[in-house]
Amino acid sequence: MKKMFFIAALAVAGMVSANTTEIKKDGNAENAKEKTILVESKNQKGVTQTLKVTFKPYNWVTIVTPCGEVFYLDYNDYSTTDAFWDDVHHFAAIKCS
Amino acid sequence: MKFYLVFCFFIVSWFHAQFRIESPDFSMKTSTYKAENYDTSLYNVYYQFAFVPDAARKEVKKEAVCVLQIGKQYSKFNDVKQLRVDSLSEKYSRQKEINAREMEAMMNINVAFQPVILKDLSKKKLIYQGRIKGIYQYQEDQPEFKWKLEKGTKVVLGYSCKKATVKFGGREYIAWFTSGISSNNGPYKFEGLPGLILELYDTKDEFHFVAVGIDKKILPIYLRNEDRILKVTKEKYKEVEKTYHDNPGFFHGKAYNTDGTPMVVKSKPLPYNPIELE
Repeated sequence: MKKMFFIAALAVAGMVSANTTEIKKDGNAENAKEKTILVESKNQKGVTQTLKVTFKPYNWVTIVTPCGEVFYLDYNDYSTTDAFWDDVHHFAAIKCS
Repeated sequence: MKFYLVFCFFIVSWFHAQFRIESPDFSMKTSTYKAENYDTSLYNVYYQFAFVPDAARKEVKKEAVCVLQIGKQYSKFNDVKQLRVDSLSEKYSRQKEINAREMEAMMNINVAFQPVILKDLSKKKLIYQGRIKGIYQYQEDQPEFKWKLEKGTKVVLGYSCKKATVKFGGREYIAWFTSGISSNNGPYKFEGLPGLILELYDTKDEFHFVAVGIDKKILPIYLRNEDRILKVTKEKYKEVEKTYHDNPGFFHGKAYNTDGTPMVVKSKPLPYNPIELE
């Protein structure tokens, strides 16, 4: 009987953690989509123009600092690890000071 | 039972005292790594280095363990953790991308003392690399230290040491050196005494180096030389360093708090207390 409870508890824990991971991945994929909309505007002469506006997608990276404070960086702002490393330490120093 | 409690506490606090990236899909393009080998060390002197980053708050000190690698032609002085950063950077540079765990491993190496100083012992020149936002490098002639030998002896690391004083970079220093080790080198840019400097501190005790170990492990004396390293004059470096501390927000990107407000507006000047005031 005890074994049954143990296996059931393990299965529930497994399912919960699997769902959480999936939600996070979906969230990230949503962030990565670029959105373009058409906007109509009138200029000073009263002529209507259609403008294409593209929203730059955010791709948030959650950073948990050693002091427990949390902040977010936009992944799109970084092309290599060096600049990312610099910013993580800079903002962590501000958060934890 | 007590053991398990202490063990659990240790594990929990260890996990909490680390940087973590909580983005499951994280991966980032790695930076290139290039370095030039100059020499190999005959011996390595390890210094415990305590310094005051903010002259207005002298009670707050940062600590680092630095190593002075002494070779035949060259010597190099830097934080030992910088060697670990370089080693990881070299490893990662062979990969296209790194994941969150690999990035965390890099972020969790806290290099408290950023400069790297390479001395050319025969030509009496030195190369200084400092991290401001990215790495900056300048070259200069080895400073001439006008040492004054003083009375007094002290034992450091089992070696009998003599006392000397000098003025450098707007600060007054007291050094304890031993003629028991045949080198006239020392921590940071210091050198020029008839023996190795084992302890050195300024009279305000804002910068204090003390030797804690010596070994004869053969280590490469190298210097990173990626194209992205900005080569400037010493004057320009000091200017950029000062500007950075006055307005760090200008050099860094944007970060956001959990409530969505940008952190960059809270960025205030950083304390500036360089080892060389002049």
